[in-house]
Amino acid sequence: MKGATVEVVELELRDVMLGYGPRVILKDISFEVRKGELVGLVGPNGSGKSTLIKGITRLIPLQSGQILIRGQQLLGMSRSSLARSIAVVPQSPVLPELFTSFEVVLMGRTPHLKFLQRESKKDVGIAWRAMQKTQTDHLADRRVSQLSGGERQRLTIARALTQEAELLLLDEPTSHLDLKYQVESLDLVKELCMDKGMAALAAMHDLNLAAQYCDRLVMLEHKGIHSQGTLEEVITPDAIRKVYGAEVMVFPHPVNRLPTTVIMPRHTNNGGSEEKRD
Amino acid sequence: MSRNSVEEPRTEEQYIALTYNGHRRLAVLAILTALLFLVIGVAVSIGSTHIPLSTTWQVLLSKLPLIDISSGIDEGTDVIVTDIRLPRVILAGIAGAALAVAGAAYQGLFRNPLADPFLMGVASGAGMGAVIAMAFTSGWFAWLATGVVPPFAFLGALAAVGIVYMVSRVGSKLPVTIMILAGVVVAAFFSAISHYLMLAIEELAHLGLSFLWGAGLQTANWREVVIALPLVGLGVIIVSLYGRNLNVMQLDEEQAQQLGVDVESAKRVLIVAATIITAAAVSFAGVIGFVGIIVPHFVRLVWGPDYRYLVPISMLVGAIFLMVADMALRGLPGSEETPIGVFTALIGGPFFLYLLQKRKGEALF
Repeated sequence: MKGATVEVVELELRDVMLGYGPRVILKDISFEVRKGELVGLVGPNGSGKSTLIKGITRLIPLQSGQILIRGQQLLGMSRSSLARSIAVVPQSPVLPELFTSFEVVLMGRTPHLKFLQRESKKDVGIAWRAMQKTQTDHLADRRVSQLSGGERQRLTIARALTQEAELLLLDEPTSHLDLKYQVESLDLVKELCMDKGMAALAAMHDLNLAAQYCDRLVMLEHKGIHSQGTLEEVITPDAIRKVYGAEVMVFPHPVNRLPTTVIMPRHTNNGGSEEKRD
Repeated sequence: MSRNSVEEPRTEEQYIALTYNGHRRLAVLAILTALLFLVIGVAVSIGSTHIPLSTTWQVLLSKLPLIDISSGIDEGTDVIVTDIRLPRVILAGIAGAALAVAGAAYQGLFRNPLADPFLMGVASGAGMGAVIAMAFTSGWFAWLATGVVPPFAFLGALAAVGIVYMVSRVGSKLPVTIMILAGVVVAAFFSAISHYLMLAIEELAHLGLSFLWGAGLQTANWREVVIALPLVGLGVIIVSLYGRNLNVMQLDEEQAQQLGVDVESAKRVLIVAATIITAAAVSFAGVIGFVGIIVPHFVRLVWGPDYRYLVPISMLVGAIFLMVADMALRGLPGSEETPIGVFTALIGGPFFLYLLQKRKGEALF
């Protein structure tokens, strides 16, 4: 093990290849996520962002290479110890409609409970505080069927917090949210990383949101990694032309100087200014 | 769950108190258990020979150890109550409990609100197994039948659930419509085999085709109760133990696994348990449809979807439902010999269509 690094490496991938039998879905994936970091996984649709998240939670078989969770081999871990280390916020999750929001959040305690154990008051308290943190506590008694898309998304973030894992995997956490909730959700994730020392890996298709929140980026392209590193290293007009097939310009954000991608439409309204993405 | 202050945030302490209202759920179980015994008493007194409720209770209580109130009971009444009606009523209860719990388990493990032992062809598979076993054990081996029928029924039921599962599975999901179609076809196929055997084999003629409609209750005896009760009891206990896992499995399989549930092994255990329960019920009572869909949905609507309570409550409500249905049949003039499956289909058919209609707009699950 690398003993020299001061920061705890929560997740490390070494030459990972994922797939079913002869069908390779992702290959040559190597990167790490350290404690307190928010790492963005970017790339166009179909580049394998969701697949990688499924691979890290062992839903897709690891063909070769190694995935280490705090130095521990993924393949040697039980499902429940894995769920105590990694919490996932899925993209547009299926939730049982007749259950109340609170019941769904409380399901986050599952990996901490033994087979026949029921939730203690401590578990209820943990779930409740997660709901307050995600501003879903006023929805606690409501049935899931009565929630909007954004409310469901925040509910799954609350459930992930209830898992009390050190590593958070988010699969397009903002894709169904209104702008207000996109900012609120990512603010929350960022806060968890900065204040609580959690580590997060978030698949995002919006480069500007990724640039605002992520410490580092991993850009996927067609079954593999195109580039990884700091925001400035990854978000370049050349890379985006190659990976996304789109002409863009990259400017510093007017307030915080972070790299901001601006699209270049072929046709615009006469005299109108160019529209910013999103 | 109370909904009076939906928009008003509560404190953590208030919420803990609200969540730990376990007394209410225990009270529901206690009341339903009391109702179950009350129904047994009433059901035993109803039939072609009316026996006053007080006499029924006297006979029943006199069977308990340490209670000596048997004076004044004439032998005929005693035989009707203890050897004819009581086993029938209890077998109806066992079958009702079994089919309701099996329905709830199939619905939960396949995440399919319309799953039911009858609609999935499992009951018909069990019926075919039972008929084959009875064909083998007719004549000289009749004394073997009671013991041999359940394992054969189990194999038939397992074959049915296996076929339906494999045919209708898409990825890790069982689409509602494909599963129902596959189930209907499997049920028709296995019923056809059963019908053929019953018409072709002379020794099975005494059963009558109505066995396949649940007429087994009419010939209920204590030996059948003694075999069915532990099988159903065991299956119900296993399904109950998986209650919290079943709740988590109502998320999709990926989320359930990411929350630490070993979905594959849970599914295997639950399929076997639900299928044993179904087979035990069908072996002696015959094929009784729709109980597995009526009861769990009713329970969900009234008491909520939490499987930890859904399973035991469905067991009690299922038992009460089928005992009352059987009692109604025995009580109605001219319907004495109508198999109970006819009755449950008359109620269940329209209820199923209602669910199908409602599914379009609202949450059932």
